[in-house]
Amino acid sequence: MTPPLSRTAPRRPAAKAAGDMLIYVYGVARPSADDPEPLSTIDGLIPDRPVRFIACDGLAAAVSEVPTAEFGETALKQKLQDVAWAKARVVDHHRVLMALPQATVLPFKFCTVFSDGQALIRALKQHGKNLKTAFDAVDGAREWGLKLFVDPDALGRHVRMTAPHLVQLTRKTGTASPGTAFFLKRRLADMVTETAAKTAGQWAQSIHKAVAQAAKAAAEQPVQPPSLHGRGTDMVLNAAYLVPRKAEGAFHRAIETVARRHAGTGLDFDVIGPMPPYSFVTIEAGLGAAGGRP
Amino acid sequence: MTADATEPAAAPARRLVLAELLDRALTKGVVLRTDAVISVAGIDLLFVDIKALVASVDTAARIGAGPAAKDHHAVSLRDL
Repeated sequence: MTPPLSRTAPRRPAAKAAGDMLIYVYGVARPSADDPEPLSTIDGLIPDRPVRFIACDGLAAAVSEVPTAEFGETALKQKLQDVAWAKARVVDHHRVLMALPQATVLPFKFCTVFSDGQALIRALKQHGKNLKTAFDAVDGAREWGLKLFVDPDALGRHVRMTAPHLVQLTRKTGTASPGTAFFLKRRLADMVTETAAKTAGQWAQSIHKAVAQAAKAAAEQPVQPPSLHGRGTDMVLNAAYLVPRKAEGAFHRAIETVARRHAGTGLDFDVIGPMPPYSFVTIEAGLGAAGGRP
Repeated sequence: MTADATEPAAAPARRLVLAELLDRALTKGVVLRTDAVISVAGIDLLFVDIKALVASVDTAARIGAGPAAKDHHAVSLRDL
């Protein structure tokens, strides 16, 4: 386990090398002999501070310098209130991670900032075991997302035409007297809604299961409300998959197969990626019992 | 057949949406807490209203693809 930490270490002001600069960490890579040579230098978050690597125990942390005036604790809080600024930085964070030449990269959470390289090395050493576990789990794989959206009207039409009890009720409604038909229609509408919701849920689960079989790991995430995804349809699945590069072809074929099977049902497939394996590296390596939130 | 019937593509488009990135980069990823960290996302990003940030993203603002390319090919950031 992690050795007990001395809390007496002086918190050094970041007045080291180039004045007021901090070290921003994009992620940590585990270099391998198979990694391609980097094509060129990778631009960092700010101009003239390209990404460089800090090596530690067989790992390589991708970092670049950032000004304390923007990324220091107080300044950052201010800056992140600026939505445009925050968005641009998140895109940068991702761009750097995707440009790294190493196959296995553990993405760090956005805006992980250390006072200097030494502090980062200390942290990497301290959490070496956790990092190794995470590297072993990811091992060259990337993250893909799958979201399923259902158009309730289209699915309603589909189940009305295909679900036996609804087909029967539709037929009955057509031949009933006007009075009876009125009530039957209402009942039919309710049953269509109910069946559609149930069907969508079952499909989401069976699709998730089928796609997960083509992945190394899978994680289901909460479905987003329309206010967040901004579509006129309902999200019924929000899943993440960890897929080895060599298996990406098979992974996409698995999705295509289930998508084809559900053509014409009002189900829409949204495949997202590739991304660094954000959803599969959530190791909150804390300070033991002292790691509470401030 | 209705128009909806032609909608689900046999080969679903792959794309990267800004909202996805925000969602993941702000809420997931490795967090190392040590004495030396000046500001760590895991602690300090709590004050960011992630939902507001994600919701503020125009869904058409797909990264690397203009709104016109919305339902066509995926363009990953790698292509930028």
